[in-house]
Amino acid sequence: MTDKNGEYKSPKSPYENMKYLWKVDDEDWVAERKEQWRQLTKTICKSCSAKRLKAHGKFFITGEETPVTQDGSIDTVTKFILTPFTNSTEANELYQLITHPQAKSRILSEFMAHISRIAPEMPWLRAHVLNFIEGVLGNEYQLIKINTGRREHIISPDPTAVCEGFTKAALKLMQNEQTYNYSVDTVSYFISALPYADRPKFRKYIRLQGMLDEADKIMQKPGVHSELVQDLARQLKEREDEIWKNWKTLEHLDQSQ
Amino acid sequence: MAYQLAAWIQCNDQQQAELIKQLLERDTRPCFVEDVPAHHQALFELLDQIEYPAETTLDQDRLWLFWYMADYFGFDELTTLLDRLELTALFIFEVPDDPLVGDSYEDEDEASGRFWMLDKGVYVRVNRTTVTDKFPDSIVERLPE
Repeated sequence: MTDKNGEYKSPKSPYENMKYLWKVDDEDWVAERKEQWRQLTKTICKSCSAKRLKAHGKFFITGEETPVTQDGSIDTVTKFILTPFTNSTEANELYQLITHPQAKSRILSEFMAHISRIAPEMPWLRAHVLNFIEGVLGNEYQLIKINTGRREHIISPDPTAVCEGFTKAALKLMQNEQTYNYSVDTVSYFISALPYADRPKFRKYIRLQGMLDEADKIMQKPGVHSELVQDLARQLKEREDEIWKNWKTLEHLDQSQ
Repeated sequence: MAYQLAAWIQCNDQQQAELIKQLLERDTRPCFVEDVPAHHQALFELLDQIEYPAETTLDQDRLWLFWYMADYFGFDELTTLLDRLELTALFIFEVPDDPLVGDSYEDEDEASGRFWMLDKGVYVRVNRTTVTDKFPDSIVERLPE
């Protein structure tokens, strides 16, 4: 589809309907957003061309999308993260407007790890994660299918990858490599995904023992670590039996490896 | 579009060379025009259109710039920019497109790059030897084989 100037224009960009989230008439909001962008450029889109980085900045501050033909394409997951939703309802509204199964699937699978990588210093990092959990992902792992009319697509994240990603993230947080990541807020989701972690080749990368050992160490030295780290360690230790029980659901898969 | 593009640029003084380097590199390029002092804003607006170089090296009042796989930026765009900056390149090197993606070249010289030097205000094609004989090893050794 082209606009009146003959430039490519996405026919159904969900972000056009979400423009109200960008408070572009509010000078203070824009100034704060610009200041955040100055920080974000240190972590986002590190190998981007100058044009692409500029397109990211324009989207972050104004919500305006650069036509793809001008090398302004922004990754689906990044775009979702850069949208200034402020509650779970807005996060859900945006997610519902995205209709492509692959895009929905990528958002569900990659949002958590990606946001910790690209926006580690943003003041809205944890709020974004919590709004995403409440409005989009949920607290329990579930198989999500959507029907496009032509065929059915499974869009839920791969449970083995969810568990592998969680243990890595939890270790990063407990070993102070990050000051915050999603692991502290997704313990329930992780535990509920464990019984479905069915890819034998990748189960060995789910580092349950290492993660629980680290949690043990932290519990033995209260006050040394941040509140977040202590909270994560406490959650893991409190639910250790449940973690092992869910893990053992598919333990027979490990014997064939 | 250039697969590889390099230029050895003569600036007016070291201060200008440092400023151009700062405004071009990804890690130091300001995000917004208002982040730049008023007297440098025009320069910033010109350079902000340019792709990040893969390599920049300062040698007093000269600046070595190298771009790798620079979409939308090649010899023509570079010389237009230099004209607008009222600067000249001592030489320019370009491999105009990715030779791995199927473009064919008429001869081997073409595939290994083209060289230009300024002659009476115009950039004229020269061969590699002309450049390697004229410029110091510290610059020549940076050129891709």
